[in-house]
Amino acid sequence: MQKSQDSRDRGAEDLCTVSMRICQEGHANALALNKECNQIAVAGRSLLKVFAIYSDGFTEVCNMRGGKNQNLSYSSNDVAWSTLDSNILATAATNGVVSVWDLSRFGQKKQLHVYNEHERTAHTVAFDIHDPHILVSGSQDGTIKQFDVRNEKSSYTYYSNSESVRDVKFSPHTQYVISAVSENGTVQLWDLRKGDKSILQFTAHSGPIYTCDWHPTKNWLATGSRDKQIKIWNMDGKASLEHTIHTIAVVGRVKWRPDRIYHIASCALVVDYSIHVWDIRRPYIPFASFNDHTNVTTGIAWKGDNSQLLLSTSKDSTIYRHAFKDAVRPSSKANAQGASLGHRGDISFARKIKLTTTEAVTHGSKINSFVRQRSSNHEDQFHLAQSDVCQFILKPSYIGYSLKEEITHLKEHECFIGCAKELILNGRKLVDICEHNANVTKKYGKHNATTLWNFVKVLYGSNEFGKHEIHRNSFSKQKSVQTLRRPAQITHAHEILQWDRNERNDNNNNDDMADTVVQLDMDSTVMGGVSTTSSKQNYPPFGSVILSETQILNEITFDNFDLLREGFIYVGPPDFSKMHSHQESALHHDVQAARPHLDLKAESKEASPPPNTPSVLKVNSAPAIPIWEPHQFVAESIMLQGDVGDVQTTISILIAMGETRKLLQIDDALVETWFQTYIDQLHRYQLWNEACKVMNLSWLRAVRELNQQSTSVHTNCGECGRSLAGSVGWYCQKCKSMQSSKCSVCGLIVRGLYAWCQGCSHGGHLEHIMDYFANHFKCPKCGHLCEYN
Amino acid sequence: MVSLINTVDTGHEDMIHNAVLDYYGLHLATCSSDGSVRVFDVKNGNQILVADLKGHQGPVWQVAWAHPKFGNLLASCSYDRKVIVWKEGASNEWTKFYEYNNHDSSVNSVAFAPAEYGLILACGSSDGSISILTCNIEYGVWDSKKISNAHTIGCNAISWCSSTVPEPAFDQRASARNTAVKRLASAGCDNCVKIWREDADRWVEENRLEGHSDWVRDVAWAPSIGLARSQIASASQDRHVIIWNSTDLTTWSSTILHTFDDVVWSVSWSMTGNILAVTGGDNKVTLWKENNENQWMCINDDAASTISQQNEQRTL
Repeated sequence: MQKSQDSRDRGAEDLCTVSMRICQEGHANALALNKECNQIAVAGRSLLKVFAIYSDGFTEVCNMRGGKNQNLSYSSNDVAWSTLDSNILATAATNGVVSVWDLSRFGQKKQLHVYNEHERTAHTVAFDIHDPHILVSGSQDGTIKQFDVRNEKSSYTYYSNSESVRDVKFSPHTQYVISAVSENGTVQLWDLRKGDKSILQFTAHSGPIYTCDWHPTKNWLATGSRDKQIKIWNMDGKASLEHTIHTIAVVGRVKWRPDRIYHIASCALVVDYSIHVWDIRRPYIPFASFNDHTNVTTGIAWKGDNSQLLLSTSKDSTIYRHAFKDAVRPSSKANAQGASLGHRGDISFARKIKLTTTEAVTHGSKINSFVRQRSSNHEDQFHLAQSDVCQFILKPSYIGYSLKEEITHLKEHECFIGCAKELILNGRKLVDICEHNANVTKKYGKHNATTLWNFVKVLYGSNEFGKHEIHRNSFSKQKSVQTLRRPAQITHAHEILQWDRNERNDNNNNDDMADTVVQLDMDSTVMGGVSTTSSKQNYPPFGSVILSETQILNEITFDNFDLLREGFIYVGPPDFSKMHSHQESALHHDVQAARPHLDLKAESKEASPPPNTPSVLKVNSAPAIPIWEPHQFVAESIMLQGDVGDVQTTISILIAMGETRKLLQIDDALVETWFQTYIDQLHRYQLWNEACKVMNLSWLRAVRELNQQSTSVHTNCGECGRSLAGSVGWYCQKCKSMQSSKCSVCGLIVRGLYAWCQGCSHGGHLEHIMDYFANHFKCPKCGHLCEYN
Repeated sequence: MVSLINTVDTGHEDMIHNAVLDYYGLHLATCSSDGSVRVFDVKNGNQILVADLKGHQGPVWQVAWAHPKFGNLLASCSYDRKVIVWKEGASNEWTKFYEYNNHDSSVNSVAFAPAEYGLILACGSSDGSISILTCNIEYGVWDSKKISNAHTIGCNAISWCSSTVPEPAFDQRASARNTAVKRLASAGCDNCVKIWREDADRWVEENRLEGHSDWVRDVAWAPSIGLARSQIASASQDRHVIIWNSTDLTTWSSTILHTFDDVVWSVSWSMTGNILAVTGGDNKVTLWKENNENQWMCINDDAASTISQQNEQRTL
């Protein structure tokens, strides 16, 4: 008594999880708390012990299995503690014996009464809350017995008319009323004074009910069943179902949480070792879980009216006092969002709807216990959560576009589909293909693809390289040199470029690549002060970001060197630029290694570009460059295009280039993955014909073979039914006839599309067959039922 | 860059944990705490509920679509420790195709392997193990392998390496391709991302990526578009999204994408692997794209804020 008072006063100190191993053999089946809530009795197989609860653990007080008296009545299914006398206990044993124990006595005398009246296992015992001398028990024999602990015999037997009574509980709201649940799924209410018939009976579950518990304040009864559900019944008048909780395992016990109207704890009979505390308003996910036990939990009890402490025992032979703060919260571990990117530029986004009401929790009056306030807050927030799914669409970005640009308003996937359908891959001269495709890509706003097609046209259209392959000049060797970007050289170039910085060439439609204009929009405010390449460039519709590397910057005007670090790096061939540096124009191939590995943070700290930066770069004309081979450059441009995800362009160009592609040094493995990605994309958009065409045009065996999967058609001779495998056409080697090749409607040999029944091997001209079967069901030749329906 | 098309009333009775579009982008599957999986037809911008799959007894955490060459298959995993594979027979008639019951705790993640490997499903569970379920399509028989103790305390997410990632020592002979090594990445409560490789009939830990300081919630292997590098995104409770890069699959370098204001729940890549969608506790979806300087830029920053404003108005 003293101890319990102390520990309650200490409050917070008490709030920790403690545990104890209670026996070596046997296991616990039930536990009960005395009325002072400072001791628990644990009953089970070969086990009946009492433990005192301290703030730091348990100590064994009494072991009622000592001595010689070891009959079966010690293997208990349930234990109950008198509501009046802390020395009086009752147990229900597997052999049907109900025992009453007096802890104040010694040795065998502790066993005060042995009521050996039930014919089968006794499942449950309970003391009357209002009259502590009254004890009831429920048994597998289908009866409920009432005992007065002052008598040697039961005072009454109630016949439930069911196979077995699994649990009996006194109503805290009405004296003499008990609830009894049974294995046939029914709940009965009995008035102990009226023994002949239950006052209420209803079917609550589709399977056996193993447990029930009355709500401490509301007139609610909770039932737990083998159907894995906990149901909350409003017992005012006729029982009505208030809530259903779906657990993952057979419900063994349920216990309402004190102080929390909507909380109930449960443990499972099998599978699930955890104790869950549910908020009945959110029946799908536990509010809190205790996962400490290593076998099924068999007994649970809240420590009196303390909602922060839960006592439990388990088949793992331990007892636990769980502190609520140590419970895991499955709902907080759950992902509340889901996003999915569709390939049509759409995003599906599921997210929790945040209840704004939760923010309006009053913090006004000071509540004496901090814990209390916090947890009531929790309770408010743990309403049924709801989510909605939103769909968003990605739009082309207009950031950084000059207004003169014709911007396509199509979505990215529409551009992809459009290009897939309209691009020409073969069958014409490369120049024409390139020109056509450049226009197609232009139409769909894929400006970098357009540029690439133009390159290919200019560089390879003349077939110059296809004929003399031996131009292996210094370009590729210079590659490594190029990567050493020399500031001096760039500034040199910069001076030259300054000369025509004010000129603007709007004619970017010109097919001559030398006239391609790259416009630099230096407005750094676009991206919140952090200048990036992508915000400064001609920006394509979203999804096909132009990398500066893929464009030829004919002239670059730099006012300060910082710009170089933001993406425009001059990396042209050194000799080449020197060669042209005295002319008014220069061709800078900005392909290589434009990836300065800058620290993001360092960059963001950098000052925004100077105010008077010129925004336009321009080119006058490109000189003929006979000695220079563009293979390396084109290969890298194509690879960069693949790098940004535009395998459509890379594959299309490679196909269109035909044999010339061999000049480009691109790894076959890489090309194959491009092919596979592109074909997969085409499939996603259900562009089967286009995908097929790409497969056919592939020069890689692995890709070409994709077309040949499950394409074989098995045919039989229409005359003799022999398989035509290995035959030439429809000629049957057995009956030496060409009969099968003839239309069964008109009798003529079919050329072109041949519709044919796999069942009877007869068929004919597609149109004839279609006409015929519009009015008939059976084969015109043999009467076979060709049509399934 | 982003605009709201519409909001779907899913009819779920509790929180939705995952929403996934199928291969063709025609169906959207959602799963919820209420134990149900719902399939919506999203053709023409409308969402029509076409199926409500009930079979789980607990919250369903994740769903995954199989490649359409195996038919319309949908896998779901739940708090009830079960993994269910659903199959659409006749149009919109879904039945349970397979149920896997061999985890000791909540199953948090399911992911189908790239179709080239066959019908293979990986599941990650709170019991710390990862199951690899392989279906023999001819007989409809499933075989399971388990990586036990993959992550202490639990595995939160699974993602397969796309099959077309070039092998470090690429062999051009077609025969070498068939023995392509299967890999998957998993995220766990041990703050690690782990990479697993199938080695003969076992799965071995190939790499352990350490960089997060709290539970890793999600991991996503970027689809390969022919790049000679692999990229993995991981999202964690430590509010970071980390992008892991490797060219040889043995050494991985990490870049912190961004430090978010709240816990990051999920990461997912677009089909071509160039956009990363990140969702987190702030209830926003942000889209990220790498520019040519290897910097990750958010491409829908202002749009996201407008989305959440709209939402608040709606719920008031």
